[in-house]
Amino acid sequence: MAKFVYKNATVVINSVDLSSQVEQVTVERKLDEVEVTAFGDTAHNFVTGLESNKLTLSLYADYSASSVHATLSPLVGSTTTVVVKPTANATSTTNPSFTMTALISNYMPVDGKVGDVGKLSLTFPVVSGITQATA
Amino acid sequence: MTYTVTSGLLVFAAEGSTVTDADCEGCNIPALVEGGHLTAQSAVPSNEPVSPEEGA
Repeated sequence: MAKFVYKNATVVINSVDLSSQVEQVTVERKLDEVEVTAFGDTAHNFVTGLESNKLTLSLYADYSASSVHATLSPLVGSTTTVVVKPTANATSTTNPSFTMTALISNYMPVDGKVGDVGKLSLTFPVVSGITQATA
Repeated sequence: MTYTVTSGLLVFAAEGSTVTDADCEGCNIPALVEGGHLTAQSAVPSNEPVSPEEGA
């Protein structure tokens, strides 16, 4: 797969496919930068520390049965498995899947102002590494 | 424990099918039940006759 436009990324939370309600998804891998600068160094010196990954989602607020609110609300306060893929095609080297354990530590069931489309902007810490699969 | 799949959004089973705890390994099952994706099936009533003592 060469350059592409996001059209059908998949987002699966607790084995529930919420892709059709997701407007944007961001999977961020980040390592803490631990400073180890010492006398004699001429610049700040760092080593990598713990992973500090996070998952950010923008979803349409859907309160109908088995949809966004019904799926996410019961997960608040617990960890759950999340799988994200760039496209809905089978997992492959050109369409890797990213699997992680997210802590649903915050959830805003209502977040909007007059005239806006109902959306939920959520950021969850990832309490695991992020596993990439290509098959 | 067995469950009936009650939504079409589960990635491991089709709506209307029956799954077990083993099928749901790794999932937060209570959240799936509360979210309307699974419905716990009630235990099948036993066909064993009830003894007079038990029925009393």
